[in-house]
Amino acid sequence: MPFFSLHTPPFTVRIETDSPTLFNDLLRLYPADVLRSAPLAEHIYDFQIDYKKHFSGKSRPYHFRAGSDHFRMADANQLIPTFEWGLNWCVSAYQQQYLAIHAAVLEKNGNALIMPAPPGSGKSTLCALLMLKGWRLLSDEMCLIDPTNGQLQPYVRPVSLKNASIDVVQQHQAGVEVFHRTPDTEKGTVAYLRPTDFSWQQLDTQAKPAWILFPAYQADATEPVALFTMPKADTLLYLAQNSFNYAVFAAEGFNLLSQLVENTESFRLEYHDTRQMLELLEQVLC
Amino acid sequence: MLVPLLIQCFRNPKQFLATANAACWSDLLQQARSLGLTAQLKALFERHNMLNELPETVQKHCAWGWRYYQKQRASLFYELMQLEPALAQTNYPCVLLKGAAYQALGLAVSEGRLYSDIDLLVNRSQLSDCKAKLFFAGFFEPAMSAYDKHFYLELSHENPPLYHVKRGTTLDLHFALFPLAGHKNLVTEQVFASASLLEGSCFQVPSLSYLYIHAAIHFFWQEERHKLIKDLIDLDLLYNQLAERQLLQQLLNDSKQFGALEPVVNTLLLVEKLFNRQLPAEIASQLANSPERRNFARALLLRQLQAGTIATLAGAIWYLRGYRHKMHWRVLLRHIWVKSSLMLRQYRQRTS
Repeated sequence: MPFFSLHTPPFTVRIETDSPTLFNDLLRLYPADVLRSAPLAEHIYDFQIDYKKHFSGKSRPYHFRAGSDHFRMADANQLIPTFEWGLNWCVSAYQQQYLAIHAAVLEKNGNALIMPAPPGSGKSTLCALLMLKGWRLLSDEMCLIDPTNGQLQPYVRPVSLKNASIDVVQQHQAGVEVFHRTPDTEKGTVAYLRPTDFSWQQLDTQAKPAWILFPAYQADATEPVALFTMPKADTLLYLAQNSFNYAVFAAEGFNLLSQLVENTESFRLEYHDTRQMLELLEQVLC
Repeated sequence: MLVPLLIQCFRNPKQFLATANAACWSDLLQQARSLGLTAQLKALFERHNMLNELPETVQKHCAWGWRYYQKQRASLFYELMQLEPALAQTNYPCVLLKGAAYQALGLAVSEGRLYSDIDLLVNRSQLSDCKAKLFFAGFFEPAMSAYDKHFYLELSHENPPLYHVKRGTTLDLHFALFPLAGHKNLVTEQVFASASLLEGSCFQVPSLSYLYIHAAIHFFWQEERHKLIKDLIDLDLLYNQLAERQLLQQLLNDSKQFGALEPVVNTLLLVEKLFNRQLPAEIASQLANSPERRNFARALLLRQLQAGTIATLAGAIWYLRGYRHKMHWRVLLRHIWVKSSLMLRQYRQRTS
């Protein structure tokens, strides 16, 4: 299958590949109306990805490129993680429509929860668990703030789980299916969770930001779970530091973040007991 | 001949809009992004009053590119404002070159054009003084080997790049427009003579014809391949303004005086051919009879704009040809000899 396309609002991507497996592998992560077996003739694509081997031979790597910009090479067994990271790279490097922050976003009853946090804080684990508990997933990676109305734009994609978080999610929710477990990647073992049907159904419905939560997994903490209110100024600075394009948005970016922080509640969440933490969260937020 | 999409679009955007299908637009957007030309596309469509007629996705990408460009332009002006107090103390001309000059003059070519650094030209005899002034404004020169330093100062046309200690800005301080190792005997004094002071600033800018000459030299006497299309678009936009202001004869006279008629003649011929520009008859006849026409080099260039093996081969010849222009063969041989001996010595030191 040399060409196929991915229609995940607000961005569409046309992919050209010589991998015989990539399309079918992605079908396990994306529904058929989002991942199309052939690009639409009348559609203008935001990004054109070239994901091919440059030389023939079984052990030759695939090159992930957008136009003439090279992102990374991938061995055949790491095609999926590199594809997912490559798409994130395209969006975080080039889109300037939304103010983008490195954060997971979920929604319940019309209120959205933003979780910005550094790697290792348990952000993806928490995001996956909340989604499995019925929250709608907007993104596990990128919080897109629409400058025209201050609302959050979904960018629904598979949830990426890393290392220990794969087992935590599987233990917590028996029977949950994890796809493409790939060991020995740059970020250790990664695996993917398919967004819930509910999340896919509302893949282009914006949500109103309500809470900003900074999770911090602390294995040696005395309390199983503790929730603190964050000062608004600290929250703003942290969001700015973790934004992909705050500098590009300049004064508008500052105003957007000020408005966001002004209209939401922000917390720091320290935990080592996942079950108690989820209970507390549902109690406080819902 | 298959003309690259971006050139087709800059040649006649209305015709492009009338004929392009969705796949063409997808390709155009991707190519423009790779070359950092999205904001220049937006400026082009705006100059032709056709932004609202474009497909929605194209408008969206134009807005993405424009937002990024606005940030870059603000940074550029901020940097120039920071440089003002340091360079206002000089009693010799400090001439902005390339992107910073286009922007300061508000030329069409500057609309949507991105920058990576600021280029400044000073007289060679003032280089040390200028560096000292910039040092106190926070610009430093990273350490490098004695040979590399010699290479910059004696063989190239600029000081090693200066970086701002806090803001990370890159400043290229030129003392000539083209590497000295090319033995082209260009008359840099002419650039200063053509320059005029920017109102309310300590900076000067070269005349429009010298801006074109500079762009033409770096396009036609160099070996790089990855931004040929971008450079051609710059040349076409500069050409259009020269033609509008009826400065083409001035351009030919200036380039002859400066010693760079060859790149100017050949880039004008390329602009005429690729962008379908109608050169005024008296200019066209001068070009037709010019001894500076380089038909083989222009054919090499046109070949590279296509795809396939012949384009790769043309690129390889273009690469060798470019080096021949930038470095006289004796200088090139010595440079290769010194560099390889130094690398060998470093390798031996590492392994011993």
